[in-house]
Amino acid sequence: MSHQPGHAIYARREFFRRTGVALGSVAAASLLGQLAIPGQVFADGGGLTPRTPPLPAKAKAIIHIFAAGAPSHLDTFDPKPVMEKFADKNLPNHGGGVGFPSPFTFTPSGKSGLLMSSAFPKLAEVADELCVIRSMTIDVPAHGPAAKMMHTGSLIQVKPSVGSWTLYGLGSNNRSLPGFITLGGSAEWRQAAFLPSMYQGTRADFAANKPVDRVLSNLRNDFAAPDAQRKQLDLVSQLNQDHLARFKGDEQLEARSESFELAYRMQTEAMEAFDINKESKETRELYGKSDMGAKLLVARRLVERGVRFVQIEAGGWDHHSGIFSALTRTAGAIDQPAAALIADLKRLGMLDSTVVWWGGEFGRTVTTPGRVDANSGRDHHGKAFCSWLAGGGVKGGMAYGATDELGYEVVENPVTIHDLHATLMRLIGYDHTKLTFRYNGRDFRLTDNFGQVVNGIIA
Amino acid sequence: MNPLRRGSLALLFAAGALTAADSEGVAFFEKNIRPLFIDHCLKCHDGTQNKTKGGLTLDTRSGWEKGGDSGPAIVPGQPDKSLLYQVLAFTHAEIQMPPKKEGGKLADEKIAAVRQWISIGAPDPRDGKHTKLTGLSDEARAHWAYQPVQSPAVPEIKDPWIRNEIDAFVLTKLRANGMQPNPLAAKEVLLRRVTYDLIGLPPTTDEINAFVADKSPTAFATVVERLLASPHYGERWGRHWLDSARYSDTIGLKSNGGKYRYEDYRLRSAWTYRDYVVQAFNSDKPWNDFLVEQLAADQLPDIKPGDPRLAALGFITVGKRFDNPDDIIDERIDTVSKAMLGVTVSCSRCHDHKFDPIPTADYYALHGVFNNIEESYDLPEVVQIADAAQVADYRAKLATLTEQNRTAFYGVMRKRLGDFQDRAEGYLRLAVINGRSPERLQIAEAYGLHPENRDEIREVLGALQLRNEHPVVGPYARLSRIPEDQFAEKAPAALVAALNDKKNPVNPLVAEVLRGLKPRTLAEIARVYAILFAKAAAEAPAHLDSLFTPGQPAPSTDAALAELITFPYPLPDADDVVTSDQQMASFQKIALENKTIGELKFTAINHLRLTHPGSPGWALTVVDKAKANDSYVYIRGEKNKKGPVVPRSFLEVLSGGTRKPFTQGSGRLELARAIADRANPLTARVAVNRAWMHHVGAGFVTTPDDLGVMSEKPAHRELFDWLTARFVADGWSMKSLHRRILLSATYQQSAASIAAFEAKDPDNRLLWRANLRRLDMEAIRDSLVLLGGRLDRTVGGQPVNISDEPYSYRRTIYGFVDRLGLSDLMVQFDFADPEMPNSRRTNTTVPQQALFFLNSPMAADAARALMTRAEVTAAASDEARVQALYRILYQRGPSAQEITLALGFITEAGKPEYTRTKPATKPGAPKDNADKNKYAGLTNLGTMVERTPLKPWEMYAQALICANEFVYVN
Repeated sequence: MSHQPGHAIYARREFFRRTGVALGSVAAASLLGQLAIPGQVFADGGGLTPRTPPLPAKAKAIIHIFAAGAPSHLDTFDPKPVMEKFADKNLPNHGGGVGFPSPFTFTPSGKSGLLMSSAFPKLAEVADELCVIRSMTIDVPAHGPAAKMMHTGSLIQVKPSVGSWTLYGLGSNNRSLPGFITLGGSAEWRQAAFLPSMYQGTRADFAANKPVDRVLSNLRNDFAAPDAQRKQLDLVSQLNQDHLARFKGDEQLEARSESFELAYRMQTEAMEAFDINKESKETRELYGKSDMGAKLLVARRLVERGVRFVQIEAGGWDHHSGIFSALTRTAGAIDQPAAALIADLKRLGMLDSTVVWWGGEFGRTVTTPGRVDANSGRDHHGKAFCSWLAGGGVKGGMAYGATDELGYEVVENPVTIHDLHATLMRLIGYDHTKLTFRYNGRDFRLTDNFGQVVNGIIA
Repeated sequence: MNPLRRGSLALLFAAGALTAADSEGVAFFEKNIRPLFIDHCLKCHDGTQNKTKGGLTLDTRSGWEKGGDSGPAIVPGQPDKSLLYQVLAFTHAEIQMPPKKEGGKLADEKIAAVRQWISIGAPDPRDGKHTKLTGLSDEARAHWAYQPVQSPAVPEIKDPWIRNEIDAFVLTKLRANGMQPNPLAAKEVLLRRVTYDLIGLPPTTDEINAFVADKSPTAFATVVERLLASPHYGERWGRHWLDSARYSDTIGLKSNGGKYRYEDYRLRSAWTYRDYVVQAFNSDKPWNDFLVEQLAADQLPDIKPGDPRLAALGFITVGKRFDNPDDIIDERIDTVSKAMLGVTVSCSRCHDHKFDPIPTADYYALHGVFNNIEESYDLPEVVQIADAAQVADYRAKLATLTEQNRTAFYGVMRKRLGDFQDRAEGYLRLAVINGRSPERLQIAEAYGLHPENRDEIREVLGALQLRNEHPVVGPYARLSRIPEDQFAEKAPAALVAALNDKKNPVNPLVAEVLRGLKPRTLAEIARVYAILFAKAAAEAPAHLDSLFTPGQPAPSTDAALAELITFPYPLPDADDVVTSDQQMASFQKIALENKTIGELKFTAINHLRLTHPGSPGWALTVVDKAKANDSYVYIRGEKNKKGPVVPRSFLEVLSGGTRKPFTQGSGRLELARAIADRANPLTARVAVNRAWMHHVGAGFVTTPDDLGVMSEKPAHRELFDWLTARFVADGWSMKSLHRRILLSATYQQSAASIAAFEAKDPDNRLLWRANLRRLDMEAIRDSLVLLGGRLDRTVGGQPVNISDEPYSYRRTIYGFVDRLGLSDLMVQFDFADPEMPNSRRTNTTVPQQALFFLNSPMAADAARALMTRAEVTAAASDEARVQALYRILYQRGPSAQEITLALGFITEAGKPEYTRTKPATKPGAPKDNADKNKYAGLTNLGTMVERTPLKPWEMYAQALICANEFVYVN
């Protein structure tokens, strides 16, 4: 059980001492080359040491674009032409209100002919990379709990974020950046909960025109020139070595010493990672000048540097009224950046190893209160909605699952949030039932006691 | 390497750690083997289904013991001789299972799990009677922690190393394992260790000198007494309990959809509970009393109004709130059971506990207790402020806000009532139309109820409450239930019935206009109401003026008219809502329901109470409901699936066979006394285990909030019991417990590592050395502040912002804790998550911590302040300066080599190429920091840290702060 210099930034022995830490099942734990005592599993979570997952997988990172507010599936990725027949007609069995055909048009796009809404002209250009899931369902169509469910697999209780589980499963591939970074969004979407806090998402306060040294806390030093700080760090290192000699190479001391070197590198590397000015003019134009464009470009730069999970909130989808103009605007904000992200990842050969995941917390009603006009909108609806995935080993240019002819209920291949989470874990190489953590006398996992991998979308 | 091969190797290796008798073994079966049997074997080998292929059944233990046609299936302990294993591993010459059509050979890890299971003796709890896993077995009840605390004899052993009885236990066990303990640590080391342990701060140079000079045998005991008498002791140990009590200054529920009563997610004075805890430790309040007060201080026989002990009830109320009341109850059950008893009762909310002897019925026995309490509106003041000027200022500001609140509230309500009276017909008609019908839009438009006011319309419709019994709209409600096509025919009779209903009298003015009508449609009735409300509107101004203006006598308006004027919002008289608490009780419900809460001043009032130095402190109390009811069991945790009613009572397994239902109110006091009963096997153990953990670095049981069946076995069970028995015999005195532990050689030995023992017992479970420990977040921050010479030693009071500039120099325990989002500093340094009891801190090492030491203004500030300390500025030479810094920071003198290193750095860092260059970023005022939204809306007074380069000596001081020695205690 030798220490691997430069890798474990978490003291392994400390991990052993803490009975709470268990990287999963017999298999997962032993894969890490550690003893497993099942039934009371201890394992070296390895801290943030990069790990090879137990199952073959392409994806090494996930970018989650969370469409907060719950986008209408009917106006984005689940066209329902039949609804034209029910325009302005009472539909009491579909939640009341009158039938509301989508004001958007749908065009077969790409070689696959995937039907794309006129709200997403740019995204249509990468339709062949998209795997649209049209059969998502959720029980509680209320923003708070549903968004939490989407991020943590739990409506109410405090559970770790899917990003934390991803980092827990994969470790970090970059020793100078946090492995799970969020660019906005609620604190509970990035929480590590009972996982060790190193798996918590780090919030980067990034915006297009914000100085990069303000993006992470304490990234910037206002008190010493870099050369002087290097000298100072050499001194710290010397002091630590002498101290360490007195404790015969204690791992936690070594780990802490090493973390200072990481921090030093992080100052330059994080600033570099968040600095989109380092990109070519062409690339910057690809993503567009908007804040969202900058965020997705940064997401790509982070993943490129080994960050495992990037979370971006791209909200504004709660279109209770005036959906045509409002959704056009909201979709417009993400259309070019998302299309650029996919094209850019592909161009760089990174799409295969990166899952791009877009979606909101539920869907919207097939009807509108009153009558169909420019002011019409759609209310909350949980029985059916859409998400899409691209890259990372999912099939492109396809739509999975189906709703009924009006888009009210799922009639084919329903996908719950637990199923989606299970699939994401599978894409990064984990059986979701085996990536567990012992807490409070129980082995917890992202998918609670549920979830089935959606094999139909895995290439 | 093939990962699966490594997997099975690991399993083989681990096998020795388990035996069949262990509950871990059963747990292993439940987790790995039972599901495997169900998935892969029972289809053909299930006795209950008469499926006995090859004569073998695998649904019970006796099934495989007896075996099938080929003999016993398993030889416990010997997988290679077990037919079952051979068959599954495909090593048997003839039989291979499962058959191909059932999926063929199992995955390697499953086969490995079977091997493991057989190796440890094939533990299998299935005796043919129990079909599902619960903790209700005799085996679970026999778990050591549920047995009475014993008072084992102290081992008879003589050795000069031994200081007290603890050492006799430890040394005996070490010797039995061929090991020996370390000699005592050096005095400087010991003083640093015990000072951080007891007060969370480092010792001063004077204290070191005094201790080193004191050659008497009681020198260390003297130190311990000094520290136990320090007011900082309670701050240190109180914080440990606050981790267990999931202390937070917020309720963790910000947008509550109008359901929750709190005006602000920040509690107005959670800090009185925090201070109560600190004082309880400082006064060495007996642990049993401490627990009782936290559950039921208000019900103690000797409690008086304004008694400071009432603040103890914050234990219940500083928890997280949820929209669902059952979740709040669950949160409280979870906290009580983990923090006080070290069992995980909330696992039994939906099913009998899987491992511990806690049936679902016991959960609902406690549910009954917490379901019968409510939070008080009228909170007792338990902390008074002495500064008269501040108090006067606070009262004046509160009066202004309260008055503004009243004006705003009545202003909103006047407008809202006027709006209703003007559009009553539209509202009444909308109220009876299906929510999404197209007709609705037409009506809304016709009456000027515009879609953009959708939320407001919805709220008014909600307030209408079309109930048959309602004195104003009851008749309309009744008529609305008549089908449209029968309306003309049935309405007159229905109307007569409504107006003659003696039980639910109709408002006389409403009755007057409706009597004798023969309406053909409901809309006609709505029109009649509209005319009536229009008349009421004409009388409204005078009535409302009188109602809304304080000091005016109650309006003389006819009661029936008054009822119409204030429909659908019955409003309190301004004279009855003089204080902000009365306003809370009266306005808030209405304002929350009609979404006008944002226009009121409740948040501002709360902010004033939370932050104004003249504001008193309130105890966040609960009271029992007037009539207590038992709860029924929610089947599978679902409220609508009612199981049997269970009497309010304590957990059966901890009641020593004498459980009685609670009879006094909610039963809180009875529950508290049952928890604090000396016969309860868990309560004292939990307290002792945690104290041991904080002193030694690891508890006897390593999971301090769960001593149940799933916990690791204590390495020193006899010592643990002995110490627990002494704790109770000493009157539950925490300070006596500290003395006992600290005066042992076990505690005082050095942390030196010995390779041979390291190999034998790497986790030091047998205690052959002291543990090397890293300072926690509070100790780190407090040390930084203290070493800069600026610690504000005030004990208690309102919370401060400990994370943002301008920095506070209060101790970290006084930092505001927001469970909705801990500050970066708290998260990065493993602060206990206040979501639930977390008595043990995690201990992570991430680069963000290093960035804090290297770059944060707090670290630079501390380094600068350090160089201004008198000991440092008075130093006659550079060498003496280095010595002073070492004494302050590390409580020891530097070696010659360390001095050389220091002086080398000073020379080097003083060279022009370093001093000339500027920091990477431009120095200057940290503007955008100042503008930032402060943590939880709290800002300290004070100045920002100056953004100028550190001088070489300051750089050096900062390096000493960054170094490991600063944050480790050995």
